[in-house]
Amino acid sequence: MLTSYLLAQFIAISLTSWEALNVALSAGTDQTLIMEEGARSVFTSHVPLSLYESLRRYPNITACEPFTLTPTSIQNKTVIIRGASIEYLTACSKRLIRGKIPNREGPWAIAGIKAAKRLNLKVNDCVAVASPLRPTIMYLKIAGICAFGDPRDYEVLVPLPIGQKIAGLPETVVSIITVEGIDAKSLANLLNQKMKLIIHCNIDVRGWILILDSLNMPVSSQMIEGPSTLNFTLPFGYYKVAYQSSSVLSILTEVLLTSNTSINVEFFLGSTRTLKVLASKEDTVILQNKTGSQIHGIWSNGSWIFLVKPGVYTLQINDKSYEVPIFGNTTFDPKGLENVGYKVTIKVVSWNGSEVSDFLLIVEDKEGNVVTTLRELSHQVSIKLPEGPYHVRIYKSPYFVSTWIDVPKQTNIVIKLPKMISNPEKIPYRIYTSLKPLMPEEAGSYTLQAFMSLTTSYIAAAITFLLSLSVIACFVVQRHFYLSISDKIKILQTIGFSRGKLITNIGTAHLLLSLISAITSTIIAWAVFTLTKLDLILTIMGYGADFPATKTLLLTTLSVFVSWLTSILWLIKRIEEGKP
Amino acid sequence: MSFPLLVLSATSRGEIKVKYLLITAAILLALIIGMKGMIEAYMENVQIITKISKGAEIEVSSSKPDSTEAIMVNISYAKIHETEVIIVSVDDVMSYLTLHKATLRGSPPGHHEALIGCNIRQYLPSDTFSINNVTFNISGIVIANDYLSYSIIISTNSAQLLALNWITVYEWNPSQANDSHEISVAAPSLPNIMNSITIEVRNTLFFISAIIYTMICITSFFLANSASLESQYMFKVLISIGTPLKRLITSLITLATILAILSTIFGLALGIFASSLISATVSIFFKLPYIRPAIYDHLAFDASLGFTMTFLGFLSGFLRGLMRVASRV
Repeated sequence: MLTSYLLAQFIAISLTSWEALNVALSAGTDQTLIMEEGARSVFTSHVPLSLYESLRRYPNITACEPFTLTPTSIQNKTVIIRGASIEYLTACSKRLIRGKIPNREGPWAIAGIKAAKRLNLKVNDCVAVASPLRPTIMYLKIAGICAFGDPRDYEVLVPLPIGQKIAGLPETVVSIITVEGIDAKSLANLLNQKMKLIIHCNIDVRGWILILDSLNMPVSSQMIEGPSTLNFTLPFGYYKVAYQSSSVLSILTEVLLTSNTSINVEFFLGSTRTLKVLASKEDTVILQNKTGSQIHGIWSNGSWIFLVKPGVYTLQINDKSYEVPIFGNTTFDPKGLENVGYKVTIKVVSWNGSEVSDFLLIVEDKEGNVVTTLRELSHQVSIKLPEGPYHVRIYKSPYFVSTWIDVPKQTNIVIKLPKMISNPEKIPYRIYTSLKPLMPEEAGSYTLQAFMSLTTSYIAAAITFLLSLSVIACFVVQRHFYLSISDKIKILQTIGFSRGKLITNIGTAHLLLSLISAITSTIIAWAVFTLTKLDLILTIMGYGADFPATKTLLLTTLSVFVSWLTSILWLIKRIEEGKP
Repeated sequence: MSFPLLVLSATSRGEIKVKYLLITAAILLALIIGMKGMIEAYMENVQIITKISKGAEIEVSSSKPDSTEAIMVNISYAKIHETEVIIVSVDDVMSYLTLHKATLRGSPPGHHEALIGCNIRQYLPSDTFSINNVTFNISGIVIANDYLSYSIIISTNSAQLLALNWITVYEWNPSQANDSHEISVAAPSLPNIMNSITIEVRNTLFFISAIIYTMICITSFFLANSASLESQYMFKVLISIGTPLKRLITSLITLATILAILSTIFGLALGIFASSLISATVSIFFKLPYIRPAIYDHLAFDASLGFTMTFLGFLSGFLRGLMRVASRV
């Protein structure tokens, strides 16, 4: 009994340690994860955050999250700090057992229930967390304690920018990205191929075509003298195609590059463009330029047509006036919006995150008709839009940027103005990080192989060896059992018990006893494990694991059965040799 | 011939079967030695990496160090415009900013003035803000890479205007410290993390070793007991020729001692050489780096413990077997 208890406890401790190590090395996730190829672990991986912005727009991907994972030490105990997006953290409210999760990024943290117990953390506690590699200290207020029911219970979760500071990562880099809805192989194919982006530019002035990534970072550039076709070779991603001259930076289009793609863009600063206003002949339609000069339009085919040089104009229709930037042929529909539908809030920020006020908002429907324009003096504007896709443009000299939104799926929009590139001809050659998508079960063995030179087969062999030793230990006891009753067996043989009868009578009872002992031992091992809180003591990088009841019972029973079988075979051999 | 020699010669002739005793105890001990040797080899390398890595540039403690010029920092939290911010009050703001390698755009805060971190500037766009109905003018922006970027920094005098719960910590640059102090947090914290992980690994190793040692003891006991039962004929002969029980016990103590020594030696040898061999073989066939198991500090302790457990197991097993035979003669 004692031997099988020790065996059960030994198996449980080995399995929990192995489970904890696996969880730590596979980032505590059960989804496909993307890490840097060549990185030795998820903790040393560097994945561009722009990839997250690209992946979440990819149609096959149902869910996608960026994380930073940093091993740190709180009260001399290791714990993993997981940096996650504010949306991800606020969604943790469902798992909250104490405290309240703030809805804005800041110096706060959510502790998993096991981490809180292990580190003795309470709501509103202040903990100092130091970066492992940088001279950075963060004081974090414990905002809440969550019970996730998964490895996150052993972690401390913080907003992504805080996680990046602790990890010593720049704002554009995270440790890993987890993905759902696509398998690792398809993802690897998507991420590792280079694609051609062919841009047919119908642009009438000299300037630069810039390719910006989803975080507005310049990726590539080519000069343009007039209408021409440009070729770019880029990896998978969501890119913005921008035109920049000395006085204007305009986002021309956005493209999700998943294969070789050809697009057309147009932008006019020199030649005359057409403004078509959808109004009746009886309406008073007046167009004025910046200096106040009136431009005359003609009424043709149910709309007013104005021929104008590119720029910003004031359009007056009856008693209403609108500011309309014109950098291409534009159609304006004053009846486009009737102030019904969903409330959409649009906030404009500059490249460094500071708020931008006094801008012009232009909303186009999917046909390209301007349905509303308004000038907003603050940094944020709310409008009502019916369901459907809209092209939202922001004009704030020298910027003219745009994005597509889908109402009502997107009702809180933040538009970030890109930074004017001072030397577009000197955009540094970009070395793209080589990425490796891994299934969660692969991540642990990948890291072990890279970091500790251990393969899964090596560890499996070690576990088999340990189990064999356990069987030997049990066998020794079982063998002793038969030796100690050898006198009785001899008597039974003398009174006519055949070999088969002996095995049936003694062996079956012994097997039953062994099995009962295995089950009882597992129960005792579980009780000891739970009472002594071994899941909080036996941790690997802060991760522990619950008592593996099924596996422990199975392996203990298997060991006990194998040792019983060996000992009964040994008994048969002895009987055949005539020495029971 | 003395009795111990008699028993040993009987053992050498195979009348007491000790082959399995030696092998089983040795394998179990080898397992502990090999496992610890490999893990200690990793940890040794980790310690070396830790020692050559960059030392701490900032240290924090909740108690004031005696001989070091540490900056006293009072920390509290407040919610301004639905945003959690850290409120920091210090006497010498400029030294504090220098310690954190932070850049100040503006001027140090006076009475009713504050510096705000670059990451919270977007939430406090105007030139003034209020905490607990006390209004502060923003005298500058702090650009930093740590908690200062989420902080509002005020002077100690201004802090007295606020009814907040303050936590006091001391921060200093360890390169300017004269001696070591009790440290709560040091950054970069790589050495501390490595130490914490080492403690975790040693905890797990301790539990696994404890179980294996107990198993060594139990296995040795049952093996020795079985060996005695299998050799009951020899014991019966020795008792029937009038050998005193005390002398037999002395002989079995000698046998148990010799077996324990041998199994410990075999265990040590197997633990060190077999693990080296496995590591080398794996490195050749799987093209992985060779990790040489370390002769760790507590090897002698493990050897002594292994010897003690096997000796106790063997002795009690032999004696139990002997008593059983003696009671039947």
